[in-house]
Amino acid sequence: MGDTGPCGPCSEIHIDLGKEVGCDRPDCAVGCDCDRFLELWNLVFMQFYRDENGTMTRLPKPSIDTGMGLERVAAVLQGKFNNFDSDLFTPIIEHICALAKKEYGLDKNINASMRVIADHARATTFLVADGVLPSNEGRGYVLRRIMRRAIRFGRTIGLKGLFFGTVCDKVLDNMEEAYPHLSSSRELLNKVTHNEETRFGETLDHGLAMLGEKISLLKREQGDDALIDGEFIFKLYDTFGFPVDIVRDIAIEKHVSFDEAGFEAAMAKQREQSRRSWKGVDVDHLSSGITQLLEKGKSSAFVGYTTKAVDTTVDAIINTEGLLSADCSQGERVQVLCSQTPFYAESGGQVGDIGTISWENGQMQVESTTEPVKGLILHEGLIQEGVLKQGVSVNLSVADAVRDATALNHTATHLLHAAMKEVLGDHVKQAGSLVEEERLRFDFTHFSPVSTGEIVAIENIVNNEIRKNIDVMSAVLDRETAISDGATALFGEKYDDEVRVVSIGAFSKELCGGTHTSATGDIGFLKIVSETGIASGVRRIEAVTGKRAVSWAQNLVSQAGEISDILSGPLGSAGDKIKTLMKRQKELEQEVARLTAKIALSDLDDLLSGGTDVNGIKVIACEVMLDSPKTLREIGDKIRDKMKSGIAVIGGNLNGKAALLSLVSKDLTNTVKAGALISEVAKIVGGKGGGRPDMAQAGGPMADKLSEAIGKVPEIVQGLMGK
Amino acid sequence: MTGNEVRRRFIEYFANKGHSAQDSSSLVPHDDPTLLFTNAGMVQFKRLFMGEEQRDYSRAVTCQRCVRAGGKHNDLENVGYTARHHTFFEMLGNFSFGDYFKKEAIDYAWEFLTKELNLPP
Repeated sequence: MGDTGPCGPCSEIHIDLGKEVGCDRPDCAVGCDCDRFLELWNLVFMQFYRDENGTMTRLPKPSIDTGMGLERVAAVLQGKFNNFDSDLFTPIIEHICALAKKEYGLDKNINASMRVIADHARATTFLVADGVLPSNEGRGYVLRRIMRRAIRFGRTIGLKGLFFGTVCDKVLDNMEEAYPHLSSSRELLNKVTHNEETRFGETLDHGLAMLGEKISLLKREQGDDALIDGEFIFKLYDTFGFPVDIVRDIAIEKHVSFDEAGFEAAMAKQREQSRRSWKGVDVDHLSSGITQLLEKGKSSAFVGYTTKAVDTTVDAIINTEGLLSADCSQGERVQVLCSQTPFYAESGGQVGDIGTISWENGQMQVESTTEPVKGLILHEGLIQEGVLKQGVSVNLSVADAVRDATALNHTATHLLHAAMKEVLGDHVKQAGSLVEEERLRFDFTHFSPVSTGEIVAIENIVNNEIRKNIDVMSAVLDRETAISDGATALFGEKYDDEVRVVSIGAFSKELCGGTHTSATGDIGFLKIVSETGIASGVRRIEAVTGKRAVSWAQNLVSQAGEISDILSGPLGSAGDKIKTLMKRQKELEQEVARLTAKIALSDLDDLLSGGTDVNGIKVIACEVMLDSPKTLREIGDKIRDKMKSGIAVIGGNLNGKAALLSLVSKDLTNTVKAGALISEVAKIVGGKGGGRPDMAQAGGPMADKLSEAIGKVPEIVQGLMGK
Repeated sequence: MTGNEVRRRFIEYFANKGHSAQDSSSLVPHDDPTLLFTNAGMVQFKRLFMGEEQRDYSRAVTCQRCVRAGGKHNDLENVGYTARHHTFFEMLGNFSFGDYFKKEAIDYAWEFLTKELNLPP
């Protein structure tokens, strides 16, 4: 139970496991720390409700809540003192023993490792089946820690490579009878454990080796007082992604101390460093113009949340060569910096604004806006008219329609993100995003394709929120407050101390610097237009909004109209009609096939009566009409039945490729082998083949050479007989 | 007696005493922001206990899958070194929603342990 909720006095049922397992202290009694009196069953008599402030109110009806751990009862009934020795764990531990080729019950450390793996495999199996996936936050993070801890304990008993998945599989085998829902997750479980073990394995082995060396060194130098310093733990964690939990476990095992304070200090230092401004930026790829601007401490203020046009002055111009320039004229491509700007620079998936910069007797088209270094917003484009000089007054004006359409897509992306978490589950995380004028694209973590039903559910939720016409609010808060308020932060993104939180009622709250529309109703309508997989565990959704969603729907309707015109019937019945047509088509194809075969077979007698005589052997070679490989074999079978003595090669065009079959009657297989014959013939059509001495088949890509190949059969037979 | 049998007998015993046998709920609690994972049998009945929801039964029995790791009951560090700590475990529970109270609850528990499981009183 949580800190709030129903509660009341309780009555615990303990069992006395006997003096021998107790601590032998004279005051040993129920409630003692030792193992003698085991709490078996807790009966709670619920009478109150406790709220966030700890205030208790009487419940409408007194109730009963009881809980008894199955593992405990099972162990007690089976006369075991350790839960892990009950039959709920035995098959799992036996499986681990077999994998590790080690015995359970002999060594304290081995026992602990096996118990950890068994326990964690149970947790992993059930969590994955309930939709939790390893990730870097929330439930997923707890699962990841559990899995990694198990994998690490595997190493202590010599389990290298992928082992944890098989343990989870064993858990599933043992539990699926009691929990039938597990069965459908087997594949997902295999995939998830495989991914995690593969990803983590290398990091782990490398980190364990480093840690092992470090501990041996420390023990030599410091003896029993050995302390793993915080800096080193931090380096393992920061550089190699080695989990701190595991360092703690190993510190316990190896009897060394863990420098918590030093580790915390190193973490704090790191946070401070990553906060420092542009010095961390890779300056090598920046043009010298930009570097000079940085050195001069130039920056521009973004005012585009509230306005789309502003009068300001030109602070600097960077020319095509990437150098600072005092003036540039018509036809030159430049980057312009102004002290303030309403232009949004590309970031957070949202494209940079476009628009115009105009001044007395001149104009420049802004084709893109970028921010190569924080605070330095550059307008890039072509001077269409006049000369642009540093220091002149200019009017910066964002292209309204583009910005507005982009804003709709950005707000819609937030709605979509929240709706997807609701429909698909909490494991959905933004993995990438593109917000532009025409559409939005959203990449997210999810293990299976999103079904049509799920897409409809997501669209319905989003469009409901749109119709509610909720105000989109933004506020600047300090980062910790924002995140503890429940704002969605994107994993892997670096945020400043002050962050902007965009919230859409209670439905969505995200850290975001983008430009949004003022109320969800502006979006009008959202339609998901595609759903695809782009990498293992990552899916992509594309959607359109506003005017574009409407034209998308109109377009669809006109296409549908075309279909119903062609079928001359209402669209509602189009599906049935098409099914009927396809069924009919299939029937016709089968009919054609049947007739083709019939024609080919009825020609057989003619065929058999013809043929060439090669050294006294009858050689039949001909082309036939084919509809399937089966027909070719059928014809072959008939020829074999009817041809008492002789050699036959038949060939046909099957879907643009040559198909060949050769037959040699039993009395002649010592003279010519069907396999050798077909190989020779197949060479002409660019293919290969083989088979038994009396029958062989081949195919080749060059169907146009089929006649030639068939024509050469007597010659080839003659050649083979000579050998 | 095997673990599977204990689980089955527990459900059967209480079902025979007029309890509705309910499936274990998901480890991910639905609409309960106070909880990371389902950590007890009563989680799925919270609203019933509070009188916010009515169902067509007033007694229930479950075998609930639970995870205690992270949050209030953080058992992760202990697991493996003690006889009783688990991240995952199954909780057998019987529930009364304004139906029977202390006396029956204790009688049932006692009878199940001593008669059904034959533990020495």
